Amino acid sequence: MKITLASQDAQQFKVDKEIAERSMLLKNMLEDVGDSPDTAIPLPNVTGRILRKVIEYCTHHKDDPTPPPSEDKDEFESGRRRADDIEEWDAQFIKVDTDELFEIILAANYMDIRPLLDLGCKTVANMIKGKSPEEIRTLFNIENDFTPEEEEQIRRENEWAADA
Amino acid sequence: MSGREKLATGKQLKDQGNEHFKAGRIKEALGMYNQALLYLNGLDNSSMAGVVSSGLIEPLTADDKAEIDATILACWLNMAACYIRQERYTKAVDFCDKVLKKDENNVKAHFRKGQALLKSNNLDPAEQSLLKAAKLAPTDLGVRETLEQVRTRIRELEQKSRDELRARLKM
Repeated sequence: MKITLASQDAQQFKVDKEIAERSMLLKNMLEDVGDSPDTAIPLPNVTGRILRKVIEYCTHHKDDPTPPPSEDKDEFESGRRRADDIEEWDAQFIKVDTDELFEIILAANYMDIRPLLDLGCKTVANMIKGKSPEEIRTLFNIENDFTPEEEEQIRRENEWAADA
Repeated sequence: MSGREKLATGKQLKDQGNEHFKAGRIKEALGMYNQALLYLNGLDNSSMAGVVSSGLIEPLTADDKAEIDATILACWLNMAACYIRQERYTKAVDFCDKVLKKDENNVKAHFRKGQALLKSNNLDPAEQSLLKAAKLAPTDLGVRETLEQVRTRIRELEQKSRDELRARLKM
């Protein structure tokens, strides 16, 4: 069974139901309304460019086990806390520029695709790891809004945690 | 479509869902609530404002954001009510839990969760949820009545198992 998805910029994508159902937002909807909706399902909070990426991910992972519906399943959680266990295909898939990475994270959050959300967040975590505040600011275009005095104070308060 | 237009569309769809629900058209109501979520979910992405380019962030006021959250919670709560009507109790409980994760003192969520648990015969957890609802809304008659129902059921079951034990001992 095919489902048609329509992105914010009115691009249409025809996908298998099982692929669409990697998104818990869509899975729930398809469960509730029963058979295939005859019109395209609007996804107004994602652009076609990113939706195409999301569909690529969902297609590759269509046979993975679905995460449990309720959110605090310990067994599933323990695997989510590690950032160094990204599989090869995923690592290649997520090699995109920073803006696109964040757009994928936003889309995964919107469409409720937890493994993709985890992949995006782990990737960000790995980018941050071992970098100085200055490097992190440059990486993500974050403006330094601390005064020199504030910065000095923070440095003092966190001295104990800094690397030797 | 701007963020505010999406919010307006989401609210409209939710209201249409309510109309269907009132008229007893549960499946149609669910269709509308699900549609509303397509517009409202992920709409407030302002928490990422520091790191993504400004074009991606929906310009929304604090009031808009509060309204988005409130409408999403209303959809989830009403969906839980629909699932109870459809006798899909596990899903009803899941959706009440979604609400409670955002708003742990939501009386309706505790109440509906309690109702769903009662109907699926999970009496002890049902009592827990209804006690929480009763604590938050001591004057709510519906909550009290349902809590009474649960307690009556628990007593009946206890009596029944006592009777069975007695019968067995007599043999």
